[in-house]
Amino acid sequence: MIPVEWFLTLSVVMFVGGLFGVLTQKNAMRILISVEIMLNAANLAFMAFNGVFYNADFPNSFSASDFEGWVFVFIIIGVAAAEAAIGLAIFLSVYRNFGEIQITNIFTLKEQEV
Amino acid sequence: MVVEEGIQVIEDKFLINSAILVILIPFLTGIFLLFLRGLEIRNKTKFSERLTGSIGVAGLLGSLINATIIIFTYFNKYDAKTQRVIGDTPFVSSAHGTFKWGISLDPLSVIMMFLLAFIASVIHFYATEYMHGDTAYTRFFGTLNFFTGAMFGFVLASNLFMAFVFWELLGVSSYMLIGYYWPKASAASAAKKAFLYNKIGDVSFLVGIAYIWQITLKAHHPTLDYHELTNLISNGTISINQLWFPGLLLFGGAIGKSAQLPLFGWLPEAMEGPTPVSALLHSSTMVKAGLFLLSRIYFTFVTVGGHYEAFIPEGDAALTATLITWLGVLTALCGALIALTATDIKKVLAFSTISQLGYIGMAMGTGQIHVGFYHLVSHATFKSLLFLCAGAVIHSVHSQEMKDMGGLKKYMPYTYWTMLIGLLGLVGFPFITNGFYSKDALLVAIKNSDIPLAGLAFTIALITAGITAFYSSKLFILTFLGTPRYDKDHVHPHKTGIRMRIALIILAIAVVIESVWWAVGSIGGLASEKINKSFWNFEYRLGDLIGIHGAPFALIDTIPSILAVILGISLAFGMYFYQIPFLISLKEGGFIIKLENIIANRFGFDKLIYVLAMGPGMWVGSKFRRFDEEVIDGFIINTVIKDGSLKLADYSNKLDQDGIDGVVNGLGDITSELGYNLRKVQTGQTSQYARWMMFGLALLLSIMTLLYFQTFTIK
Amino acid sequence: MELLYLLLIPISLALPTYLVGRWKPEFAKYLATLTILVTTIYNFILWFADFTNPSTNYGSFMYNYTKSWVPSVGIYFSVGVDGLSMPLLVLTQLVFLVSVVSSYYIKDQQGTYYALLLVLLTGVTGTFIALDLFLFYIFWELVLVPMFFMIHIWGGPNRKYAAIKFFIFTHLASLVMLIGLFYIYLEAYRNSGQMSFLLVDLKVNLNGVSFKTLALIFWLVFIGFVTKFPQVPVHTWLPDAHVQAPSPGSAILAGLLLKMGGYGLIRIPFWLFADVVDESGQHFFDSKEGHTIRIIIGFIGMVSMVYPAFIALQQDDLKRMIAYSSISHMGVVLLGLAAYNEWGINGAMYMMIAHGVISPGLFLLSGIIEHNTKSHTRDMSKVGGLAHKMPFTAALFVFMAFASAGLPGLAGFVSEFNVFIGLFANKELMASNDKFFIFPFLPYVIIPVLAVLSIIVTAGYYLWAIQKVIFLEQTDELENSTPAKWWEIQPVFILAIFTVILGLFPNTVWMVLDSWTQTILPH
Repeated sequence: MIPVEWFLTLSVVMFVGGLFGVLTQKNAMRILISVEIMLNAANLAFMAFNGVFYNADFPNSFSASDFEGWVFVFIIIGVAAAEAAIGLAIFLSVYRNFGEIQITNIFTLKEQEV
Repeated sequence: MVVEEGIQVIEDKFLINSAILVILIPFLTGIFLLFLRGLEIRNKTKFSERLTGSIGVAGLLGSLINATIIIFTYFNKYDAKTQRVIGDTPFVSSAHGTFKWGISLDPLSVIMMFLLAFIASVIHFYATEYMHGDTAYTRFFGTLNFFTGAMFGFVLASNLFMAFVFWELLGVSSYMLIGYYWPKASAASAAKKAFLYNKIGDVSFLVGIAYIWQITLKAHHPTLDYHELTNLISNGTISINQLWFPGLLLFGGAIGKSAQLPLFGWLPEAMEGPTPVSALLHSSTMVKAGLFLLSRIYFTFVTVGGHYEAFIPEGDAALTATLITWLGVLTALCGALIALTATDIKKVLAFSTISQLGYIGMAMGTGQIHVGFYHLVSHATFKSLLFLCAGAVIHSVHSQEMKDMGGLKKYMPYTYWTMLIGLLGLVGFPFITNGFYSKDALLVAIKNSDIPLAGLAFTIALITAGITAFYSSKLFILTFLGTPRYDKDHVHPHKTGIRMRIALIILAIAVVIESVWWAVGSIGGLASEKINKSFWNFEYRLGDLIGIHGAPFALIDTIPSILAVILGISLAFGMYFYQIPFLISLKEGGFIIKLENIIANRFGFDKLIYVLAMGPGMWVGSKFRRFDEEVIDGFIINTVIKDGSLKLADYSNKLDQDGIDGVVNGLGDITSELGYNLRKVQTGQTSQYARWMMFGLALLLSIMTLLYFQTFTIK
Repeated sequence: MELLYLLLIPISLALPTYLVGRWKPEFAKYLATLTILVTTIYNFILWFADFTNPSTNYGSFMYNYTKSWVPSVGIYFSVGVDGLSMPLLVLTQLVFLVSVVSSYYIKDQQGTYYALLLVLLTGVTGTFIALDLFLFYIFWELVLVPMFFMIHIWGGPNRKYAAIKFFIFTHLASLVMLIGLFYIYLEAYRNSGQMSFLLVDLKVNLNGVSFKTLALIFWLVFIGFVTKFPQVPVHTWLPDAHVQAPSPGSAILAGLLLKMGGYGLIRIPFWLFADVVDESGQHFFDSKEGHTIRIIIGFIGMVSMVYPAFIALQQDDLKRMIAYSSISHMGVVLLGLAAYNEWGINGAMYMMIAHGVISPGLFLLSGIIEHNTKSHTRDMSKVGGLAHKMPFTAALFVFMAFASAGLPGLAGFVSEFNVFIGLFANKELMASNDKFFIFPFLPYVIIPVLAVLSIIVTAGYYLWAIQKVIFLEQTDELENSTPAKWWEIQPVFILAIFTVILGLFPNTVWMVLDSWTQTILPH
C-alpha cells in the first residue's frame, strides 16, 4: 500500500505549482488553469485522507462518514466546473471591453485620486 | 347740635323719601339731558331749547318743591333742636363696619338745602336765556343739573362717607362746567387746574375720614355718622384730643373746595365757565361746601359746653381752630386785596368770593358755627345775584373787562338796580342790608374769641371790610356810572332779556327779604326780648337750634364796621367818580404800583404751588421714567440680564465647540487621515492583491501552527 | 359639572374655529363670539342662581368636581369656585366677550387668532377654578402660549421684542413659583404623611409647619405672582407688552392676566396659610414673620403705586400711560393685602374686579384712537381734539379715565376708598415710631401717606391726557377720523355700564367677597 505521505507530497507540489502560476502568470487563462490545478491538489488531499481515516475494521459495514472525503471532492469538482464557466464568461466580456486579458494591464479597481 | 339731653333720631319715611327725591330729580334729569345730548350728536340734530331748557329747570323746580315741603314739615312737625330725621341704607357692608348712604335732616342741612334749591332754580331759569344759541345747550343743562344733584347729596348726607362721595362728584361736575368751552385752551387748563387743586383737598379729606374711622374703630364703635360722632364725643367715648388731627385733615379738604389760602388759585380761573356756572358753583353753592363741611364736623375743633358755649379746647387741639381762623382772616384780606387790582368784572367778583369765604371760615374757626352759617346764607344770596348781573352786563357788551364798560345805567336799568342791591349787600351797607348784619356778627365773633392774637385778626377783618366797600364801589362806578368806554360802533348795549330780568328781580327780592328779616331780628331784638327769641332773629334762633350762642347784637359793636364801609365807599367815589386829583395821585404812587404788581400776581401763591407741586412732580416723573428706562430696563434687564446671559451663552458655546467637539472631531480627523493614506495600497493589480492574500494567509497559518504546537507541547 | 362646561366648551371649539377660519375667515369670528357669548351667559346664570344670597357662606367651594388623576403622587383634576374666584370668573367671560367683539378689525389669519383666543379663555378660566396646585400650574402656564403668539403675530412694530420679554419675565417667575408650589406640597407631605396636591388638603396639612418655612414659601410664590401682576421692579415687561399687543390683547392682558397674579397671591399664601397656627395659637400673618411680610409687601405696594404714577405723568404714548396706571392700580391691591383687615382685603379683591372692567375699556379706546389717526399713532402730543369728530369715543374716554382715577359712583372708588380705610385702620402701618430696617429714617406710616398722595398724581396724568387728547382744537392727525363703529364702541359701552353698576351697587359683589374674607381673617 502506498503511504499517505506520498499522496500528500504530490498534492503539495501541485498546490504550490498552481499557486506559483496564479501569482506569476499574467494571462488570465493561465491563472484559471493554475487555479484548477490548486483545486485538484485539494481533491487529491481529500481522497488521501479519506483512505487513511475510513473505518477499516469493518469493511462490509459502510456508514455515511466513510464517504465524507468523496462528498467534498464531488462538490469541489462541481464548484470548479462552475468557476471555469463563470471565469471564461468573465474573460470573454473582459476581452470584449479591453481587447485583451492580460491582467497587469487591467487595473480599473485601483483607488482613484479623490 | 349737641344739647345736654342728646339727639333724638326720628324715622320719617315721607320726609326721607322727599329728601331722596330732592337729590335724585336733578341727577336723573341731568343724566337724561346728557342722554339727549348723545342722541343729538348721533342724529346730528338739536332738540329745541325750549324742551331741553324746560327739562333742566323742571328738575330743579321738582327739587325746590320737595325742599319746600321738607323745610315746612320739618320745622313744624319736629323740635329741630333735639330731633333730626335720619334714614340710611348700607352701601358697602363689611362684617365689622358699614359705609352707608344716609340722609340727615337737621337745621343746617334743611336750611342749606332750601337755599340751594332756591338759588339753583333761579340760576337755571336765568341760564335758559343766557345760554341761548349755544351749540351744546343740552349738555350745559345736563351737567348743571348733575352738579346740583351732587350738591344736594353733599348737603343732605348724614355721614362723612356719603359726603365724600358727593364732594368728589362736585369736583367732577365743576370740572365739566369750567371746561364747558373745551376747545379753548384756557378753559381746558382752568378745568384741569380746578380739579387738581380740589384733588389735593380731597386727599386730605379722605385721610381725615380714614383717621376718624381708625379712631372710632379703636373705640369699638366704627362710624362716620355726624350724629353718632357727636354722641361719642358727648358721652366721652372719644375726646377732642384724638379728633383734632383728623379735623385738621378734613379742614384741608375744605381749603381746596372753599378756596382758602393757599389753594385759592383755581377759583378765579374757574371763571372760564359760562357765567351761570360761576354764579351757581363758584360763588354761592359749591365753594360753600367746604365751609358747610366745617359746620358739620365742628366737634373736631371746638368744644361745645352745656350752656350754649363754644370754646376752643386747650392743648394741641387748639391748633386746628387757630389755623382755621387765621387762614380765614388771611384769605379774607388777600382776596380783597387782589380784588382791588382785578380788571375783569367776573374776576373781581371771584376774588371777592374768596375774601368772603375767608370771612366765613374765620367765624367757623372761632366756634361760632351759626355766625358763619348766617353770613353764608347772606353771601350765597347776594353773590349769586351779583354774578347774574355781571353775566347780564357781559352778555350786553360782549366783554368782561371793566375798561370796556361804563355808563350802562341808562341802557340796563333793571340790572343797574339789582346790582346795586347786591353790591350793597356785599359792602354791608349799614342797617339796610343783610350783609351788614351778618358781617357784624362775624366781627363780634372774632373780637370775642379766644384764639391767639384775636385783636389783630379783628383789625384785619375790619380793614378787609373797608377794602370790600372800596372795590365794590369801584366796580359799580366803572360799570354803570361815568361815560361809556366801549366801542360804540360795534357794541350796542341792550336791555336785559325778560327771563334774565325775572331771575335778577327774584334774587334781588330775596336779598331784600333777607335784609328786612335780619334787620327786624337784630334791631327789633334790641327793643323786644320776644322778637329776639323768635325766628326773626335768624342768628340767635340758629344758634339756639345747634346749641351755640354768640354775643347778642349791639349797636356799639357796629360802629367800627360802619366807619370802615363809609371810608371805603367815599374813597372809591372820590377816586373813580369825582376823580379828585389828590386821590388819583395817591393811587399812582410808585410804592402802590409795586404793591399792586405783587397783589396782581396773587402774592405768588400760584407760582409757589406750581414750584412746589408741578415742578417737582414733573421732575420726579422724568427721573423715575429715566430710572425705569435706563436702570431697570436698561441696566438691570438689558445689560446685566440680557447681555450677561448672552455673554454666558457665548462662553458656553465656545467651550462646546473648542473643548468637547474638538476632541470628537480630532478623533474623526485622525481616522480619515489614516484611511486616506492607506488607500494607496489599492493598485488595481489583481495579482498583487492575490499576493497580499497569500502572504496574509501564510502568516496566519504560520501563527496558528506555531500556537498549535505551543499548546500541544505544553499539553 | 357646571364648571367643566366652562372649560370644555371653549377648548373643544378651538380647533373647529381654526378649521372654519381656513375655510371662511368671517365664520371663525362669529363662531368664537358665539362660543364666548354662551359661556358668558352661562356664567351669569350661575352667578344669579347661587351668588346672590346674602346668608350663604361663600368661603367654601361650590360646584366642586374632583377626579383622581395621578393617584400615586396625589394629583387630582379638581375644580370649584368660592367667593374669591367666582367674581373673577364672571369677569373673565365678560372681558373675553368684549375683547372678541372688538377684535373684528383683525383681518390677518383670523382662524388662528380666534382659536388662540379660545385657548386663552380656557387657560384663564382654568387658573381661576383649579383647586389642585398641579392643575393650577398647568393652566397658569397654558395662558402664556396663546398670549405670546397674540403679541408676536398681531402686535405692533416692536412686537417680537415685547413678546419675548413678556414670555421670559413671566416664565422665569413661574419657575420660581413652581419651586414654591412643590415646597408647599413636600412640606405638607412631611407634616402630615398625606400625598395630595388638593388645595383643601394642603390647607389642613400645612398646619404645624414652622413659620420660618412658610415665610420662605411665601417669598418663593410671591416672586412668581408679583411678576404676573407686575410690581416694581419686575414690571417692565408690562408697558412693552401692552404697547405692542393688539388692543384686545392688551384688554385681556390688563383685565385678566394681571388678575391671575393677584388671585394667585391671595389664593396661595393668604388663603392657604390662613388656618396655620403655632403652639400659642397665633396665626401666621399675625406672627412676627407675617408682620415682616406685610410691612415689606406694603412697601412694595406703595412704591408700585407711587413710582409708576409719576412715570405715567411723563409718557407721550397713550397706551403706555394706561399701562403704567395699571401697575399703579395693582399696587393698591398689594397695599390692601398688606393692610390685612376686611376693608383692605375686600378692597384689594374689589380693585381687581374694578380694574378688570375699567382698564380694558381704556385700552380698547386707545386702540380706537390709534386706528383713526392718519399715521396710526397714539402719541398724545400729536393727537388732539378728539371730541370734535368722535364725540362718543371722547366721552367714554373721559368717563373711563375718571373711573380709573377713582371717581365716586364708579367701580374704582369703592375699592380705593376701602383700601385706604383699611391701611389707616392697620395698627402696624400707622405706628410712626417703627422704622424700616432697610431705611432706618422712614417710619412705616410713610406707606399709607405716600400711597394716598399718589391719588393726586393719578388724577394729574389722566387730566393731562384728557386735555391733550380730547379737548382743544383738532390736530391734523385726526383729519380722516370717522365715528367709531358699533363693534368698536359697544364693548367699551358694556364695560362702562358694568363700571357704573359696580360703583353704585357694590354690595352685590361685596357681600360675596366679605363673606369670603371673614373666613381667612383671624378673629
